Amino acid sequence: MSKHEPVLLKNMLQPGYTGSLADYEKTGGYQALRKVVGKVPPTDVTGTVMKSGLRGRGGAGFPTGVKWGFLPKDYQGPRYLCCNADESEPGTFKDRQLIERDPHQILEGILLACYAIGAESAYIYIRGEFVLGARILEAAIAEARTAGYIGTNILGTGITANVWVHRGAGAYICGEETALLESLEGKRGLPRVKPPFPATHGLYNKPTVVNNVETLANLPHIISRGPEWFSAIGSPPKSTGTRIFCVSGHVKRPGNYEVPMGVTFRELIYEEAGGMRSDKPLKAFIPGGASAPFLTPDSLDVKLDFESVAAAGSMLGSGGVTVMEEGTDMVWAALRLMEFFYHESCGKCSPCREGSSWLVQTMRRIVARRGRMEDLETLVDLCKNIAGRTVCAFGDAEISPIMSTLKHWRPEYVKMIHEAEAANLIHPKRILAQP
Amino acid sequence: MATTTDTVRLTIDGIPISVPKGTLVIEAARRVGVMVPHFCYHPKLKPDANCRMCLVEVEKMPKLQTSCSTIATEGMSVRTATTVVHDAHKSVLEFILANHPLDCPVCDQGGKCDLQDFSHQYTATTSRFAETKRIFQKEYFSPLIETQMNRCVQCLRCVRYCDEVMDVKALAPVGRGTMTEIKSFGAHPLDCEFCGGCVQICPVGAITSRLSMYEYRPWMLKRADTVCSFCGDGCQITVQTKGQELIEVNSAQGAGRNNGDLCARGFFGFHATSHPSRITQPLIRRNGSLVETTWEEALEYVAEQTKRIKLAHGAQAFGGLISGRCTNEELYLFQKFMRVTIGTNNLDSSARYGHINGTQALRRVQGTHRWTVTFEDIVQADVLLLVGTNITEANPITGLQVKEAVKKHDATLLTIEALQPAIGTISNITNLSQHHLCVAPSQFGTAVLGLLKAVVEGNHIDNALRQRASDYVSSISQAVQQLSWDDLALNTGMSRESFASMASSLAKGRRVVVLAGQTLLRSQGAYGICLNLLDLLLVKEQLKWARLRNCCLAHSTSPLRTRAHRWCVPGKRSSLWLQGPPSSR
Repeated sequence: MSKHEPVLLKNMLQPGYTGSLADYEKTGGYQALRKVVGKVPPTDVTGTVMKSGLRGRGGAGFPTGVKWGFLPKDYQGPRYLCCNADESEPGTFKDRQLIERDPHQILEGILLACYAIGAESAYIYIRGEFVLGARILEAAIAEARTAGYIGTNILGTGITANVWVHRGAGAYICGEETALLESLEGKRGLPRVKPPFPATHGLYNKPTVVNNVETLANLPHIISRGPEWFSAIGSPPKSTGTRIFCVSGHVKRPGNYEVPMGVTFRELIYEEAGGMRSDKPLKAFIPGGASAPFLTPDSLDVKLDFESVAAAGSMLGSGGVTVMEEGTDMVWAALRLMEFFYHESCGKCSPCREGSSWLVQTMRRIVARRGRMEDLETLVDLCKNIAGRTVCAFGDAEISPIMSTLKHWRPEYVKMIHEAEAANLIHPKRILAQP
Repeated sequence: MATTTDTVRLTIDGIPISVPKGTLVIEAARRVGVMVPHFCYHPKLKPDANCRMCLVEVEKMPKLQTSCSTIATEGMSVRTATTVVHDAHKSVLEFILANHPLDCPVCDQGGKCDLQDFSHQYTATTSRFAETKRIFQKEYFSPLIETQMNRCVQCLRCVRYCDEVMDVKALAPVGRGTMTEIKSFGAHPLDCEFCGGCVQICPVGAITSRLSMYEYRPWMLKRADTVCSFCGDGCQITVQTKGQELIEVNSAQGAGRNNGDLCARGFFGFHATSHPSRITQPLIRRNGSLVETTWEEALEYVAEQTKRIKLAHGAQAFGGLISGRCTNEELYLFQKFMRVTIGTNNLDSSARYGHINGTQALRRVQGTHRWTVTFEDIVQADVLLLVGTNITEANPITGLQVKEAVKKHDATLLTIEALQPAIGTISNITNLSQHHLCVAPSQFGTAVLGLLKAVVEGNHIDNALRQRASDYVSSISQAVQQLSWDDLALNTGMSRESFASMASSLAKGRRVVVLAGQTLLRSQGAYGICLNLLDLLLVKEQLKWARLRNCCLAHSTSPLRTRAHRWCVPGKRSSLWLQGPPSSR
C-alpha cells in the first residue's frame, strides 16, 4: 500500500464502493456543492481555486483559476464549460478510472466549475472508445438530476446547471481543446487558430472553459477542505496537490498511482509500481504521455512536478509514465510512437501533416535496415522545421520521441544503419545513382 | 500626428503604414508592396492558417506568426525578409512539395500555379524526400469539374468557399492527415450548383474545369473582359480564347460588381457558343425552307424589304423585338435604328415582360421607376424580404449578397417563395431564411397581403406616420380589415401566427430591403402585389430619407412625403434595358 494519502482515488479504493450517488453521498459527496451554491459568490470560488494553485491536469499545466479568470466578466449571454474526457494520450488512463469508478466526484467538480464561471451548460466530451464510461456518466447524471443536483433549479437555489455527455468519434486531436470544441459543434475536429482563445470565443463562439477530468475532480476537495490544505500538498508554490500517474511498461505493478507532486520518479517506479518487471535495469521512461520526450535513468531522481521535469528536458504532460527496461529497442519504440502520431495527425496544417508522414516513413526504413547516415540529419532537420510552426501543440509533440531518442540513444540508430550497409540493403536512391 | 481610433500604424520590413483596425498583417503587407507567400489565405474567406506558408516575424512574439491570421496592432513591427522567415518559408514549401506529384507538364494549372511560382521563388530545385508519395485513386468527380487529389495542398480554400461564400457545403475533406482528400459530401458524384468557385479558387491544379481540360497553356490564351449576359446581375467575366476557339471563361478576384464570383451559367455556360445546333450563318426563307446565305446577301435583302414595306405601308407597320440578353450598346443601337432609320417607336424586349409591373408600381409610389438598392445596400441590410425570387438560381450573384448579409452581418432573412428548404446539396435561399412562407406562385399576392395585415394589426405602424398621414393609415387599416385570416390561411396554407412572427421580424428592421423576383413579377396581378409590397415598406416607416410620394393599397391613394425606401427587383436590376432574364425561367 502506498504511504501517501489518496485524495481522488480515496473513495474507489474503499471495498464495496460502487460509485453510486448513495455511496458518494455517504463519503461526504456533494457537500462542497451545498456549501457554496447560492451561498458563496462565484468569484470567491474562483478565488479559492486560484489560491489553491491547482494547475490543469490535461497536459499543459495551466493554472485553473487563472483560466477561469480570462472569461469576460461583463459578457451577457451563455457561457460553457467543457470537460475534456477525450483521454487518448498513449500511456495515460487516469481519467478513465475516475469516470468509471467515481463519476459523481467529476460531476460535483463540473457543477462547482459551472457555478464559478456562470455556465448553465456543461458538456463532457468523452472519448468514443469509452463506451462503458459514457454509460456510467449518463447514469450518474440521471441520478444527480433526480436528486436535484443537476437541472434548472439546483438544490432549490434557482441556479441552472445542465450536464450533457458527448461521445467523440475516435480522433486523438479532439483532445486538443479547440478541436474538441469544433467536434462538439458537429464539425470536423480540427484545431482552431489561436487567438482568439476559447475563453472569449469558444463553443458556439461563446466564452468557454475547457478543463480536464482530473482537474475538475479536484474541485470538491479544494472547496471542502480549503485552498490552504491543497496548496500544502505536493511541492508548493508552483505544483500543488496530488496527481494520478499512470505507470505502464516494464514494471511489476502497472496502474494508476496517486502521489503528491514532488515525489521522485524513483519512488514512483520502484516503490509504488513495485520496480522493474524482470529486475532488469531501467533503460528509459516517458514522464508524461507520448508527447513528452524520453528521459534516461539519470533523471530518476527528478521530482514529479511541472518545473523539475521541464528542467530535465521533458514535460509532466498528462501523467502517463511509460517505463522501459534494458534491452528495449529505442529506435523501434520511437517508431511505434511516430506511427501513432502519423495516424492521428489531423492534416490541417502542412508541417505536421507532411512532416509526420515523412518522419514515419524514414523511421520505418531505418528499422527495416534500409537506412543511411544522411537520414539522421534529415530527421533532425525535419523535426526542427515542424517545431513551433504548426497550428496546435501536436506538431511539438510528434517530434519529441525522435528528438529525444536521437539525443540519448543515437548509437542505436547508427548501429541499425551500419547493419543496413552490411546487409547490402541499399536505399533505392543509391540504386539510381549506380551506373 | 495623432492616430485615430480607427486606424493602426505598423511597420512592415521597416516601411511604415497606417491601416484600418482589424486589417490582417498579410493585407497590410500587400499594401506596401510586400507579397507574403500563401496558399490557404484568400480575401473572401475567413483566415484558416493551415498552410503555414505565410509565417512572418513579429517583434516581441516568441514564435513566427502566420500573417494571414494575425491582426495588425498599433506599433507592430513585422519582418518578412529575414533569414529565419526565409528558412521557414522554404521548409514549409519543402513539406508541401513532399507529396506533390510534380506533374506540371500535364497540369492545366501550369503557368498560373501558386505552388510553381513559390517553388521558383525559393529555388526548390532538389528534394530530400526519398520516401513513397501518397497516391489517391482517381475517382470520377463530376461531368464539369475534375479533381486531381494528388496535386492537392489541402489548403481547403475550395471547401471554405463552398461553405462560407456559396453556402452550398457540397465539398468536404474526407480522411485524415496526408490522406485527406476533397470529395463531394456523400458517396456520389458532385451534386451542387456548379458555380465553379472551387475551380477558380484552387491555388494549384487539384480542381480544374473539365470543359477546358488539356486544351491550353495559360500563356497561349488571349483574354478579353466583358459582361455576362445570362441574367441581369451584370457580372464581369474574362473570356479566354485560343485562336478562334473559346477555351475558358472566368472572373478575376475583385473584378466587377460580382467581385470575381460567378455562377454555373457564367462559368460553365460558355460552351453554348460552340453548340452544333447554334445558328452561325444568316438564313433566308426560299420556297418555304430556310437556306444558309452570306451576311452581305442577307443584309441587302433586309434593306430592300424594309424600303419596300416602308413605302407601301409606312413606318408604323414595323415593330422591333430584341432579346433581353443583348448588351446595353446593342440595345441602344437597335432602338436608334428603329426610331431614326425606320421611324417607329414600336419597340419591345423580353427584358420588359413582367418587369413593367414593378416599374409602374414604383413610378406610382415614388415618382420614379429607378431602383434604389445597390449590392452594398443588400449586404448592409438588417432585414431582407424576398418574394418569388428563387434567387440562387435566377440571380445567383445577387443571391450571394443576400447570403453575405445573412451569414456575415447577421441580417434577418424573410422569404415568400414557392420553394422548400433543400435537404440535398443543391441549396436554395430558403435554407438561410428565418421565416419562410412556402406558397404557390399564384398565392404570392395573398401572402403579401397577409403580411401587410399582420404588420398593420400587430401595431407595427410608426406613430409619426399615423400623425403625418392619417388618411393613408386609416385607409390601409380598413382595407386589411376586409381580409379574413381564415381566407388567408385557406389560400396560402400559412397560419396567422406565421404571418405575425414574420411581421414582427420585419418590424424590427432598421434597414429593410425587399427583393421581388421574376416569379412574382410575371404572375397575374403582379402590379397590385408590388404596390402592396411598397405599402409594407411605407407602413414600416422605412421612409427616413427619400422621395416616396404616394402609396396605395387597392385603389386608395393618399399623398405622403417620405424620406427612405429601399426596393429592388432582381432579374433586371442593372437597368431596364440591360439584360433580361433567361427567357423561359
